Amino acid sequence: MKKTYLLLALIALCFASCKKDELDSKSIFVDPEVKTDTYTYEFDQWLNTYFTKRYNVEYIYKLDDAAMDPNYNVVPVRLGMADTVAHLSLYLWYDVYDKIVGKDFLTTYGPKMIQLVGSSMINAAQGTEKLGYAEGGIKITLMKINAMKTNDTEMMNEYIFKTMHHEFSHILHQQKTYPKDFESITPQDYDPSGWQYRYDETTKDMWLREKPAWKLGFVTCYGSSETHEDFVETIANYITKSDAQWQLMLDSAGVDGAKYITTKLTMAREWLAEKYNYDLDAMHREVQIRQKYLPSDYDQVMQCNFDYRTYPDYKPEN
Amino acid sequence: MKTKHILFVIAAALVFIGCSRDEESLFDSSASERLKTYLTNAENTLVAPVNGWEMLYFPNTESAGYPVLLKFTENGQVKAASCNPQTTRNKYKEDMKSTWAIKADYGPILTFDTYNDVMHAWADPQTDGDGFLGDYEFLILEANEKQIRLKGKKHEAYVEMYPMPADLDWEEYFKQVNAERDKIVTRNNGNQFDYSYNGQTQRMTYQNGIMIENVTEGLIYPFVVRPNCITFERPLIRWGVSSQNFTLDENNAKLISMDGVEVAFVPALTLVETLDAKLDNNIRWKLDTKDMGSESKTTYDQMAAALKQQNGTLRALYMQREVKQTISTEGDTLLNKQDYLCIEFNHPKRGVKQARYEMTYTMDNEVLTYQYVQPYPDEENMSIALLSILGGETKGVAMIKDLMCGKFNITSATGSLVNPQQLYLTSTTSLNKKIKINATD
Repeated sequence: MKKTYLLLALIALCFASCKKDELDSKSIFVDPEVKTDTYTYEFDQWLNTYFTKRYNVEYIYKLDDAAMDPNYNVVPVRLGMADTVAHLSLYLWYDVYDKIVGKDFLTTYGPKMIQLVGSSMINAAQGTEKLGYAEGGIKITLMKINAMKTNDTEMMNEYIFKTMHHEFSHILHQQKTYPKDFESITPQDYDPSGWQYRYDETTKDMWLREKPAWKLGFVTCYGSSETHEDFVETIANYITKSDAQWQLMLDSAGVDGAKYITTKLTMAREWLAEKYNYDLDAMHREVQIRQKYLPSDYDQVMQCNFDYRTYPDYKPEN
Repeated sequence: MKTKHILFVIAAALVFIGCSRDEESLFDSSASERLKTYLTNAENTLVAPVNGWEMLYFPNTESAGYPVLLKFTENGQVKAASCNPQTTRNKYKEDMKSTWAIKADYGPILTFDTYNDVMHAWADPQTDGDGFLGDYEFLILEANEKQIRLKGKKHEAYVEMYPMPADLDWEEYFKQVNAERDKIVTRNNGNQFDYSYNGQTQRMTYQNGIMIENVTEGLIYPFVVRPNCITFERPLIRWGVSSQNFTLDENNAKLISMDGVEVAFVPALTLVETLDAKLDNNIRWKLDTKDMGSESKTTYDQMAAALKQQNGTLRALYMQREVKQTISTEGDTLLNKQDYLCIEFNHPKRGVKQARYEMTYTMDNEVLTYQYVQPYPDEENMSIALLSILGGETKGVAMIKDLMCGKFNITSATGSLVNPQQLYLTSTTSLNKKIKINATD
């Protein structure tokens, strides 16, 4: 009996010894304070309304170098460019998908983070530069934003919107397998390590530099690096190139080159329609007309609720 | 009974385990609270000085430093200004349309997280992927009201910041820096110094904002020029003596330590040798036409008049050198040096042209002997054309010899021996044959 008391006493001691170590209800993680007087407060609030709440996407423009590949030297984006690109992204990208594919499409499949970087990732040894990349269907990083001239539609297409359509198309084919037959159209000419040597260096026109790739049946030299890139380059270039540019490419590609490119486009068009109810031709038309009515004052796109038909210089198409 | 024994042992063990974590805390608050306090203090320190901070910015550990002035404001905005030959072409530049932040990474970090024309020009990869290899994120090593010590996160150069005097205008600050640069570093590549302490010396060569030991695989010491002094990226430690800040002595004859030790950078070359070293480093010596002896002035005026008579103009004369690297059959690197005199003039019919004449440059006991050899070949034959304009080969060559050739004693025209950018060449035979030459790019 004595031993039983002793045992009970010991057990009681156990709890007594622990008693004074009560958990502190305060979290060790301190919530960031929301300051309303910061230099970027107004812009941050605007982003919160139009990107975070509307599309469930975080628009990251303040660079954290730790989030970047340490093998490259990169710099942040200019604040003014972050503002411009945000407005244009709504007008030339988000709102287009809303209209063509449906309101929920981008909240479902769209990237959850868009990160802007001022410079590109340059690999001087290989003579290449990375203008953007997608990570796990969640994050799209857009680069070389500081070099963009906002009144140069072709440049913006190349550096921003083509890259966005390109990276987003990667997300789409990562969600639903793309047609395997695509890989057998031009299987012999994919070159992961030598595609960059296919550019025509004799011309300064960025688009015409791709001519050698056209003849092989690719819309761009980068598209000839591997099949996934070829698939998304076909989509992205079809959306962002004008009808005249696309026709020029087909005319310059030769019979075989044009045939391969057209087959690839048809396959991508059918796959998008079947898997996502996404009309690629409607997307192309909408982007082209919006590019044509690109306001120089980007607040205008907000005031007009992205409807170019209300812009003062709008002329209805016949 | 057996069960009771087992329970007894377990309970006894629990008592001691239960008590064992009652260690006395070394700190009054949690790690996150301490970090937050540190970051808040650093923020307060950064925004405190009314006229901002003088940042001694080194892009990396192998590059010269340049000052950047910074004014941090509480709302996260930062104004940065600089004036340097690398990123602003020696013009004052400021940008205040960007942001800064303090954040916790693997330590407290000061970051410039949106693009600033002044700060990020050092980190922009440009077309080669590297640019100037500079940082814009810094680990905070120490932050107090008198000094902030940082270390570049990627390229690891030490960067120090000091509060700016409240009444010193930023543009005026850079005017003072540039005046100091002219006294110490401008066009001074190749100049040599003896780093000296108590009779011991280490020869060093100045090159692009860095002192380099003249030893195979010698250490390099980057520094930044500030108003009235230079500061090295990290303390220079030799013979057990450490010093980081140096200033010109009262005669501008050497750079002496400001850190209470008797070390100094003493110019190691004679003026003749300095003239020679600068020529080796692509620096040209331009004739100063406003300051010359009477005999030299007469010759110069004759030359100018002869050109004017033919509707031409004499523009400038330069002492120059071409240094070519060749590899010998044994595989050794050889330097072929060719001295020449370059005369820039307005050709009566063909615009601005340059005529060149091969020269020899020899040094003997601090006396320079500069001799004419022959016209230096060029595609347009300008050397012959100019001689013809000057009245024929004999007359033309005589003018060149009278003006520029002979044996000369050399003296510094600025009084500075640390960076003798302006020199007097006085003929050993006639005090009136005297020219002044200024180092130029």
